[in-house]
Amino acid sequence: MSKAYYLRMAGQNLLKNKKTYIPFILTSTFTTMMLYMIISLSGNQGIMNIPGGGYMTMMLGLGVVVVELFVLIFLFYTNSFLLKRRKKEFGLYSVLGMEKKHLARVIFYELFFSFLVSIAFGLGLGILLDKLLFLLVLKMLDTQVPLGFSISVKALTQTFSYIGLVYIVMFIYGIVQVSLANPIELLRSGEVAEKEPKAKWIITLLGIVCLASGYAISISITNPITAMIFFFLAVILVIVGTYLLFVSGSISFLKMLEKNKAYYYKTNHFLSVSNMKFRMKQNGVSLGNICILSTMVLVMISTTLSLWTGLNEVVGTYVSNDYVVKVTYPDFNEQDQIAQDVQNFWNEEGFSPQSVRQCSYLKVSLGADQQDRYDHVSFDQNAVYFRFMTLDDYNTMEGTNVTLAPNEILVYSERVNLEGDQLSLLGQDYQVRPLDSFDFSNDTAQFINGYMDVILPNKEDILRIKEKVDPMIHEIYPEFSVTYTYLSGIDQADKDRSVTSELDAALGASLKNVTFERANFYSRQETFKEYKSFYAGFLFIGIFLSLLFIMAMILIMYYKQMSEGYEDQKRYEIMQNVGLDEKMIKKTINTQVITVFFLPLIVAGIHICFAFPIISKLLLLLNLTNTMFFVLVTLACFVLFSMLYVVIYWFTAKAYYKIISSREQN
Amino acid sequence: MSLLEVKNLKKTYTSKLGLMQVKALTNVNFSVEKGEYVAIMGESGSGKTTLLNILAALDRPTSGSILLNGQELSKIKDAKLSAFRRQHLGFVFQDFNLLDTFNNQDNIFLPLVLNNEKYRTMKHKLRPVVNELGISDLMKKFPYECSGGQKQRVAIARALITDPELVLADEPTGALDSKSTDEVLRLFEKINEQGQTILMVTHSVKAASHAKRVLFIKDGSVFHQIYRGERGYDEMFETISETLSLLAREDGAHV
Repeated sequence: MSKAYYLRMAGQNLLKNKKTYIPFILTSTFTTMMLYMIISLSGNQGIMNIPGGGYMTMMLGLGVVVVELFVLIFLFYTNSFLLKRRKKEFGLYSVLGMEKKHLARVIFYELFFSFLVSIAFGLGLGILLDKLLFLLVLKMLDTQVPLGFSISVKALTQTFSYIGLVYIVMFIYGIVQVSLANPIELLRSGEVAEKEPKAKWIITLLGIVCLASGYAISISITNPITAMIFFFLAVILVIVGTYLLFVSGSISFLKMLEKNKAYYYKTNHFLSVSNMKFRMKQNGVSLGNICILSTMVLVMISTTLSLWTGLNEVVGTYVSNDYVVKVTYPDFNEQDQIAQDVQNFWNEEGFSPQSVRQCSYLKVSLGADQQDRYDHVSFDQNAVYFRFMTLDDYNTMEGTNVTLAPNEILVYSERVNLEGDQLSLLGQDYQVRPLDSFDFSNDTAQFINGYMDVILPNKEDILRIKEKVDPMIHEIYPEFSVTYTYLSGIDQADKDRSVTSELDAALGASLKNVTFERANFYSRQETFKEYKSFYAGFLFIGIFLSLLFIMAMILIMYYKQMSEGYEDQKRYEIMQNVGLDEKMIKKTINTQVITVFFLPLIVAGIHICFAFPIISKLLLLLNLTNTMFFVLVTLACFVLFSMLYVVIYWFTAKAYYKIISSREQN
Repeated sequence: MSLLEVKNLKKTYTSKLGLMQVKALTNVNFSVEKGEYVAIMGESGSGKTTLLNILAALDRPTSGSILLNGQELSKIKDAKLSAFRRQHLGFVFQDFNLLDTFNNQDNIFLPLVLNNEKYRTMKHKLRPVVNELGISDLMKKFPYECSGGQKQRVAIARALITDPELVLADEPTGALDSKSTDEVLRLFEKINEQGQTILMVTHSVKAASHAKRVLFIKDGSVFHQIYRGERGYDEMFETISETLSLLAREDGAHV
């Protein structure tokens, strides 16, 4: 037989199986396009040259790895699904006298065709959309757009070879599948009745334990640092639990229903319970996939979007003025001299402050032996960062005229609860007057679980604290000594001064008369840009991966509905023969389809609720402290996602009913 | 009054565009008395499947009437048709039509569950039928774990459990080996002896030779009928074979 014959045969096969192959080819094309775009962007010089663009490039580089892994798993999964469906057809060919090498050739042509289409359209679309995506990234980074059209040769070759490799793997898998089975087995493979699934109580129990412990971790953790450590453990536990419960728990549950005779032998329960049992056996894994993918999409989008939109607030705590100078120095008595020098620096470097705020503080991380009693230096997870400053500084800075009794202090606390109005600091008790707000460039806000700004009546109070703290710190870190920090923040009309080494050097020079450890200059706008780039990277990857995952989800759902459709076709016929009217059959099938379809979404919703505590702790680490805001963003994401889900349901259900009712047309 | 009366039954299929008309049943008349065991024979394309589908209320006739216990089948509303079939008819199919998602017992319960019967009543009805058919050890098994003969016996149990006025069987032995065929035919005879009316469509001479009466259908109408009377199986078998070859010869004569 000639080669052209196999080629034609492969072509006809693709045509005949177009309902299953077109989605596969679309998926393959789409993933190829996505892969090209992210590889191209990650190597884009334009992004690298933007201030803070390095973060973005780093994120994109990570994204490439994730996408590559995803492409491999996903294309492979889809292809093996298609192969399984066609085993009978291959069996027929063998019986008719085609040898395995001929079958291999047919498989080769089929895959080669898909590959060509994916590469041609995937890369083509990729090149077209790549520019658009680049513009989007620049927009996210608020940068001017250098126009021009570019094709990344590196991305082209890398994508081509990677996708090619994936196809080779699929081809080898196909050959192995065909050569392992004998023709009779292949022929019959579609007919073998599914065995009744057994309830596996141990696995179910394991699933419940996994899920419960994952949830428990999320709920019980109060500390952001611990949250970071245990987050991945919780994620893995929940994923494992989800799969176990979808595969086994659901069956055990249905078996339990079956045992309840009074419930089971009711018309609608009778049919749905037994059908669902088999359906869950076949689809447990797909449903688990859909559920996990949904959860991932929701978590990614809601967190990255929260971070992105909460950016102003975050940078606001970090750098609270247009420009800030920070000097760390050992001797508190030199405060006035430093203030003078920094004032000179502002003037000499051409800044024209409309307002100046300045103060000195002592920054220490303290641990408590009991509630509200901080008695030792600590760097562990529960430590609280304190900034101690004097009432004089406070009054000058805020333009107030507050007076304090000798043992009275003003306290502003963030994420630390004060039980009473007493606070004990290193052996000294103080009466607390809480402050509603105090906002001055706090660089400790992002590292810790909570901080307090404490305004003490006198300079002596600060010196006393320093005296107590010095030996304690020395014990932990012999090399380290506690310093004071002087901060000066100015606001002015011109906000475009960038942080340069010249400015840093000039600052150092201005401070020639004092001893200091470090002196730095910050611009809020630039800090903002850096953060923006960082979070834009997050958001971009979040959206990008979500798109991929959603596509995967759609495909899994589509194939699930299709294969269920073919099975239900026969079942539908029998039920009709035995005396069920059409309306009732439609009703039972409908309930089942809807239950099975929306179960993953519901479970994903539950996952999100339980993930909420731990994720909001993690966001604290990234300076997002507004939990209510995160709640709203997550809620909005869930609503939007559910709407998308319904649309997907609507489309795939249509395919399903078309298959079901195709019998009537015969 | 007869249990089943079929008068002037016609069925014409029209192609989608209305260009072609195929007469499946031209004019069918016959009746079945209570307690009878009737086989309907005919070659492929003779219209016997169409007839069975109409009797089973799965299909509507173009014209004519069918009276089951005095009730006109064509006057039953669509919404009530399924319930009517469940309550008055029992079905046995060539390919069993058992649901693989149910074990045998639940397969048999299916029509009862659809009639909203209580579990206890169902259990009560199950025992005699199952004992009669000798399948009591198969109840917890699934259809895919059973042989063809066993499956058909389960299907018969499902047909009988509602205590129907008429059991309709469509090639009940068509998918069985000879041993299982004998078994199933013996069972049909046994339940018929206990008073169950059976109407069977088949083209197996052997199956038909167990019936009390055989109707021959040709070109859409009843052509001939044979009563078994006192004849044994072998004699009946001979007679049916002869009749069939006569039919075939006449067919040839027309050409």
